[in-house]
Amino acid sequence: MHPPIHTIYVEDSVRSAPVTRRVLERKSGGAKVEFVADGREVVRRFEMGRGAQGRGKRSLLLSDLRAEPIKPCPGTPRSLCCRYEILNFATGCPLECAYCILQDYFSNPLLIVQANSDAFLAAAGETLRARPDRFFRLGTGEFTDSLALDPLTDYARLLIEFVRDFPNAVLELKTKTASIEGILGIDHGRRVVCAWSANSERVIAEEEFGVASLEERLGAAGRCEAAGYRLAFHFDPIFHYDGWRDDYRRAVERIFEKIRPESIAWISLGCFRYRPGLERVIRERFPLSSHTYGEFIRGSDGKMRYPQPLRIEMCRQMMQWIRAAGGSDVPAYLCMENAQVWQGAMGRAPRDSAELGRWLDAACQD
Amino acid sequence: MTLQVHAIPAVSVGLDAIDWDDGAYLLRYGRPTGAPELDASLERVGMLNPPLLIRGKTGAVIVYGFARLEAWRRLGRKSVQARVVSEGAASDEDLLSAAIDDNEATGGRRLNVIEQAMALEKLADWAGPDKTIQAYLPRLGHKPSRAVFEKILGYRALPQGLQVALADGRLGEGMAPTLRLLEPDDQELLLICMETLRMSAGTRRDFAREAAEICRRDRVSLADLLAEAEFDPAAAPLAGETPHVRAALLAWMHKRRYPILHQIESDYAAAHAELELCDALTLRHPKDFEGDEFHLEGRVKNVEDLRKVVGLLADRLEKRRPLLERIFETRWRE
Repeated sequence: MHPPIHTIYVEDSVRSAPVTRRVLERKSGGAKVEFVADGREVVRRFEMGRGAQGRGKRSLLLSDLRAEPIKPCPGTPRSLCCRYEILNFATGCPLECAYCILQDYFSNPLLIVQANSDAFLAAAGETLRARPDRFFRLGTGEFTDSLALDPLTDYARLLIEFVRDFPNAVLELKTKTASIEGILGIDHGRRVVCAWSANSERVIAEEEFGVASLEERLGAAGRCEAAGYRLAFHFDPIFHYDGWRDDYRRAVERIFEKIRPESIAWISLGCFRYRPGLERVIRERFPLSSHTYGEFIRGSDGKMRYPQPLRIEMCRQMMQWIRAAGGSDVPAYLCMENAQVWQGAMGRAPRDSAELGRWLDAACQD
Repeated sequence: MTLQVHAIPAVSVGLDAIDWDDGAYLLRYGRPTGAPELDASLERVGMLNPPLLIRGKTGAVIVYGFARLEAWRRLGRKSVQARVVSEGAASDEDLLSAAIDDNEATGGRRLNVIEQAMALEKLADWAGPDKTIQAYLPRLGHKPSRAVFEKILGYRALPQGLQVALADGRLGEGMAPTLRLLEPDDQELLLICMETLRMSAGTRRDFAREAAEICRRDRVSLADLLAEAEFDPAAAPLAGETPHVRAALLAWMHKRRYPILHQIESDYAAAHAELELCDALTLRHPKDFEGDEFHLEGRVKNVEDLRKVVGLLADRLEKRRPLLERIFETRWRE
């Protein structure tokens, strides 16, 4: 499915880049194209203002702006971080999830893709080559959805072909779509993890818009499994609401009904948390969303979180369902949680973020 | 074009030549029309600051000085010394700008927040939103930001009763976003409730937020919520009972808003009581139960007290260890 892009801005310097050519060939007929000398001028047009969020999500800038190609996940203070590294090929997301933290995290909602893919990947390659002693767990799903723009850009194929050549890296593509056509039939060298954000059917229906249903995601995951990819699932954010137990148990069971446990590299869990500024955005943009009216306290990192005893219970239950469904041997971890929640929910806690990182590094290598 | 008001000489204008119904430049909301102090002042010293009028098709339209002119008329005067702008000699924006100056500076009377919203609405039409934000928000004492602009304009969408309450200061501006979470009928009901129970500004803010969030979360009306709390907002408590009724309603609302935290807190308190520490000892849980730092607080006056406290702790560690472990692993079960 093509993302609903209304306007495509192209920086003059990437006019003839292969990514640009593909996007312009594949764009929907109604999409307007504007060539600009300097993409920063377009970025300024979308500086935050009411209404900019929606417009920005429908506007794509094919840019030559030099972003840092690989940067560590920002993590959160006083929490254990999995030490994932962001392969920063794009920022912004065309999907509309009411709870999305990017609405508050970025000051600009414009979708930006590094259209000069050769230069971008060369710079990323330099970083990987400079540290042959280090293992890089790369991902593209932190500042964007890894595959939402793929029907237009075909970027995932470039990234897979790039990472395949590096023995010290794996790439996780994380998505809420079923846009996998571009990545099937590619030699991925087992260096790629295809991951899906998973949630209860109710949350997907009520809070996520323009996304694939859980069944569609699992259908796509099954096809990737058949194509030899490792898979991953991220239950993040998990919401607490009346009936959450039945809904999330069912979602966990569906995964294991469709996917063999040994195909799953990892499952992550994270309860809904947000920077306080997100509350206003959600209430304005998604007035029917009721999750910001749950019980939250301000955590030690300044983010709003469910009370710790509730988070422990939610994650503990999720782990029980995962084990009961056949996932006892699937590596599972908590995203941006403290040691107490780890201990209470998982019965153990990594000593530090480095230990968690090493454990996950090992989980995705043959 | 900028209007040089002080360059316009004051001339005598008959009050019957004024179009009293034309409020194009009127910036007044929620203030009493008859002010005895103003009447007395004008009687004593006369009209020191001439009003500004503009000639219109049906008479002279008041640009600023509404209150003074009304008082002048109440005093039975037939004419007034006023500055009069010729028709077409100034833009609507210039005239409203002069009216803002008169209120904010010359008149020494700050526009209340609804009056500011009225001014911004008119300026946005006449000068465009961007210029209004950049040029006029700072003159009204705000940052030149679109978010502030839209926030203030949003006050005009509130029910009239709440606009009046905002204008006269009975409601703080900070409460407006919370009020918008409620249906219009509930907004008015909330105000009645807060006034009946004579809540302070801080209490109003917390109460409104919790009530509105429950209504949104549980999809109930405020009327239903108050009925559930067995509180009738229309019935004022008996004399002397207001503080008690208010405290009970606030506690009920807080418990209803945060049932899980309340339950965790209650369970903790019960376990702590079961531990039977002496009055001098308290084991405090981490703030909001976040993290793992408990605080053991003790009050001792001498070595003998200290010995007793340490002995008590040793006893509890030996004989009530499972209970202590339960306390340190505060859990929540549905």
